[in-house]
Amino acid sequence: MRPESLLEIKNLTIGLSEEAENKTIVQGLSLSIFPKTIAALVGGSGSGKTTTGLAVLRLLPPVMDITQGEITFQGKDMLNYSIEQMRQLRGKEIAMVFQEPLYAFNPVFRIGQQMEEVLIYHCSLNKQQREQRILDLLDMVGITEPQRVAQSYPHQLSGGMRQRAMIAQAIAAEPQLIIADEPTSNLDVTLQAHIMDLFRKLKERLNLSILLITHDLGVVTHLADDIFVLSEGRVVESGPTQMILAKPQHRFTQELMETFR
Amino acid sequence: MLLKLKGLKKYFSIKKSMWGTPKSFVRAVDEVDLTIWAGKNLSIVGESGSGKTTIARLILGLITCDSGQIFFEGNEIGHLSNKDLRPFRQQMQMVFQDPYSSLDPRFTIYEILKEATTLNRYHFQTSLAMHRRTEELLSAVQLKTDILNRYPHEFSGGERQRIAIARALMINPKLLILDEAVSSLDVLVQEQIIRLLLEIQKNFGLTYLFISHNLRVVRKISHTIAVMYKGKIVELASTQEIFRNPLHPYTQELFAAAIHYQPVKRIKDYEIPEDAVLQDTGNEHFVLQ
Repeated sequence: MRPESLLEIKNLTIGLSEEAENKTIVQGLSLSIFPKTIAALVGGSGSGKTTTGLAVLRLLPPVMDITQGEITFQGKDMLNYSIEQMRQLRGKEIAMVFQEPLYAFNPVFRIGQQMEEVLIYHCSLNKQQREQRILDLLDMVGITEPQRVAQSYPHQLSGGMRQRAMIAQAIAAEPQLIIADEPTSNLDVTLQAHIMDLFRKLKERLNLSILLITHDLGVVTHLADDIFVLSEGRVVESGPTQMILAKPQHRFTQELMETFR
Repeated sequence: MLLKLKGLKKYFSIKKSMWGTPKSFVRAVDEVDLTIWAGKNLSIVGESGSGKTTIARLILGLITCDSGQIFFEGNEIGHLSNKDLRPFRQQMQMVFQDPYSSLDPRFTIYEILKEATTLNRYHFQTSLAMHRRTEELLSAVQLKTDILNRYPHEFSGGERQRIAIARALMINPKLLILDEAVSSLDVLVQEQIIRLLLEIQKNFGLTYLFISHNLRVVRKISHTIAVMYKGKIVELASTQEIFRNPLHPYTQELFAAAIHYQPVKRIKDYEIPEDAVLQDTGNEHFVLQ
């Protein structure tokens, strides 16, 4: 028997607002993420996977609206949260790792400053403790020179380093859930494997749950506990990873599997 | 033999002394020998910074090499002036990684395709002939022919990459260099583009030089694979051979990452001895030793 789910999305429907022809982007999507598990949301470009990730944090662009459905986090209905409550939750309970950290980081602040911002907002630490914590976090994500990286600007780091720094920032306030949107799509395959391995280690060490959003089913086969395959805004197939790999039912899943065989 | 690189070398200076004399170098391309046969696709695989793109730019004459030779169908083109290079450049075209920045947003698709011919001084007898050519190529890349008056922003990444391929084919090149041409696309679109490229090759008699960081992607399209590391080719063999038996530790690392999605802990960077040369281990499988 599985424990109670950490995040539960039920029958989520997201549409473009009225002027834009009432197009639906996500159609009746349901998924649950359990504590200390990695779930993967897999689909092609335009399938609505990023939109789903943004909807959980209520970061949807103004033209999109949640028209139906429920999102519950730790048993509480998140759709009723006020803006202030959401602010408290982002970073502290659920954090996000974006695809291209070069754009996600602010280019005019040092990495350390941007990480400190999270700590100032969510944790009660003094200046010294914060500095120590930043170095610890950078060390935890496998950065060998935390001191130098903390003092660097985003453009001074390589793609792999930036992504590690981004992950360090995401785990800074010890969230329960991390949503990682295509965290490795812009990286070399070798780096990709290392970053995915880092996610696995962090999950063990920090008792995290992770929602991985990706177009590459192969990347998550060694990592995810559950897989949700998304096509045109609908979950076409879902289940434990082993089961999906052994017996892909839907044609779209089979197509995805063809690509990495 | 379509293209042959001999002892090709390109160093970039990263530090200069007070007087402007370079003090340290990045060995972007270091004594590279490579041969591409007509109709046999070659892939260069390696991590970012290994010198793959520099090779492509050297071949096209976008930058000049420090030493070494480039032969295109037997003619040395490595040290030609821009003017003398032009007839050779017309036979080589390139498709870039990011279709969002490689197509001019202010040009219609027709203008984009047309520009490829005017820049290369490639003349059609009549504008009707030109129009026919654009339509022929758009159907070759499986796009509708009525898109000529539309703009790049109206298309998805995969469609844009098809347009970029059509543009590269406008002047009938013999060699097409694809620099990470599918890396920014999702896996399903990657598959489609690769299938399309194989189809086009049959009909247009092209040869591809495919550059990628991902061994899995190049598997279907290449006859030969060259693995690059720090400016050197560390392994060179036919696709079947390299997949059956990757020999160099760096190739094995790429292999683990691309095929099995497993990280390999690199304790330290691989040493490449100064006097290392590519040695045949049988089956035309060359390894740097």
